[in-house]
Amino acid sequence: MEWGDFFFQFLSGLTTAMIYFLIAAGLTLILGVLKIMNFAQGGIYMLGAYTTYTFMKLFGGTNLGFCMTLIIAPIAVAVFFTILEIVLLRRFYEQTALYILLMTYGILIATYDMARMIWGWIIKTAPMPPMFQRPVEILGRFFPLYNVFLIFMGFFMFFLIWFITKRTAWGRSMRAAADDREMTAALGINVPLVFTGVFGMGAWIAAIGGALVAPMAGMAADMGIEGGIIAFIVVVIAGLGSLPGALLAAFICGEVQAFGILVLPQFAIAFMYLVLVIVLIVRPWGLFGKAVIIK
Amino acid sequence: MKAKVKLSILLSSVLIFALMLAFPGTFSSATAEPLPPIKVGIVQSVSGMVSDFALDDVEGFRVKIDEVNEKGGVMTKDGLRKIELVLRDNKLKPDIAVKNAKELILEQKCDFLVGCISSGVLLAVSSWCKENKVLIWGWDARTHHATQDRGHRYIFRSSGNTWMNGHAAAYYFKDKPYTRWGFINPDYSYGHSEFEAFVHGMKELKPGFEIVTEQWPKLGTTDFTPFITALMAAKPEAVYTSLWGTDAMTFIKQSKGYGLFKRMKVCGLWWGMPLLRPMGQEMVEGIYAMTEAPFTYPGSPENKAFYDAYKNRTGRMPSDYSLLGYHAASFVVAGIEKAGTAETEALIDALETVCIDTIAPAGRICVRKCDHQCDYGATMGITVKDPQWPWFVLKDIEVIPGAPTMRSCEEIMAERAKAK
Repeated sequence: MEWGDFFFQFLSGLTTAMIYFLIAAGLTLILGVLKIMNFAQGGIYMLGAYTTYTFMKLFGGTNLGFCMTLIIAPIAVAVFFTILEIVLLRRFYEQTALYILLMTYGILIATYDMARMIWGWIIKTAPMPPMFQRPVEILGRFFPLYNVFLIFMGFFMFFLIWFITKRTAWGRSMRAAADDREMTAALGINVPLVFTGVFGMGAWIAAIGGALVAPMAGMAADMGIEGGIIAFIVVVIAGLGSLPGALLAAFICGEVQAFGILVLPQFAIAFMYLVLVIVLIVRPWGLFGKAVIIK
Repeated sequence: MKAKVKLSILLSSVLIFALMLAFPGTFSSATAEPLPPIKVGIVQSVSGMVSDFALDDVEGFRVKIDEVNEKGGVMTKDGLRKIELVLRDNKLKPDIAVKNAKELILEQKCDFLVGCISSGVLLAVSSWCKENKVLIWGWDARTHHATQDRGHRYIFRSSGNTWMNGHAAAYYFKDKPYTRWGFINPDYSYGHSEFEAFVHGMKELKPGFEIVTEQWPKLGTTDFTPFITALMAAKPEAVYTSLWGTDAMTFIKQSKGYGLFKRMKVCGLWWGMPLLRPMGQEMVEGIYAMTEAPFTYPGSPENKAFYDAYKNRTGRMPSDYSLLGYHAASFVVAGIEKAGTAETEALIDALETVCIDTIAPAGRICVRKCDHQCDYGATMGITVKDPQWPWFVLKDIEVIPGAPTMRSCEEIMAERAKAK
């Protein structure tokens, strides 16, 4: 095995990491501000992929069609889930966390059945846009151009979310509401509106993750459940609610898995869980989380 | 649970009543006829992940039964008897399947059972059938355990099994120049069975056979990129995979970007018909793939007749699965004709020596007496673009006869004795 093989494995791991990050970023955002565990996140990711399939079929799979889909499909999914938040979730924020868990889990199951009803059981895949249909040559080997795009999009989304939360007025009210709901409300900020916005944004990010996966993978309704589990692992390793943590955790999970596959393929799947176990033992509050001392 | 059962009984009785009102003629004539129909219970997963394939099995079976019924039925000792089908959906759940089997036999008074697309379901139904001395004819589920170590008098299978498929691939590749093999298989019982069978066959047949890497992604993986780079880093001459469905589709799409298909040969075990259609133009040329019934081959009149009958009936083109259903029906009908009855023990004795002419490349296939497994020959070909179809087809088709790929009777009997 040459060192080029290791570098390629690293690049593959990075691709995986970016998919993990995009599913987990929305979850960690919602968790950080709304303080709720959104089980439906995986379902949003799955619906993002399926709506991308539908829109790309509508637009005919061209480059322009793909760009338009990438803008429209995630927004459509986000709008749908924003409405769900207003109609269903909002009234449960003040209740015990159990209600929210049940409700979001219920939404996950509902999206699963909805996808089956709308798109059926036959496996679907969105066409790869023509501009990405060629590989780039690195070290005499081929690397898919689409994966390069995916890695770029991962970092782009990270900076976009970071910018929105840290540098805009809306982001400031978001962080304020996360810290102290009552005080923020007392200052005249419409907290429910902020929450709705954050939930919608979280849904949008996950849907982008789904949209980006659509041209490179086959889709099935249960990809949402799988995606949801990975998102949870990443968020727990990251520390609940931390965005840079989510990026780092996704990176660790992706690379650990990639090199596990290269070195010990029989046990490859276990490596990510091993990281989770180690983090939970050594730093139960996650890499970037704050230790909470319960008195 | 109880309430559910009651509800379903209520609903079905309402349905039957409604049917009787709607078609009074059919029912009164049925009672007027001297000979009651032979009832066949179908145990199949027609809702759930594999429903499309599963329905193809059923429809293929129906095409044959319709053929027979149009001629007045199947000839028994007492005269012509029509065949009636009763379908029950098990949603891929073994426990539901066993419940269905009980209901079909005890309440619907079916003479015997056919079906099963899932190996887990077949094994569960098979052990119920063994205890209750009911005949089950498997038409699609592939685990070799069903007819090898866990086989018994009451189970038959017309399709091939994992052992035969893996060995058929080994037979096909023994004369090809590839010795350094990489493997990527789904990490559950099916993937392991196919892997073991192929490796077992290659070790016997191909001198210098070598495994350079084994990859085991779990079922439902959406990101194969690290597996693909690891596979390529091991530099095999050829790759063997039993990935199927969504997994196979994802793997192909992602491998294309890495130029994997340009660097090594790939044998996608079940990338024949079931995958060619959904993949459309995204398929790759030059992949070795297996199927039991490519629909464009051999183009015989019987083949064409089935194609037309199937299309008339369902409005769709037949698939491999439709042929599997059709062949199962051919066996069952031939068995009843030979036995002159649908009575279980007599029918089993007759079926043990039945052969049929398939409309697939496999040609004439027979039930083997010792394990009730048919010697269904597999077909290997190479994917190629064909302007005639909106998807890729297989060219250079080779038929690998079933018999030499089967495990010997002595070995199977020894295994069964050990299992007890």
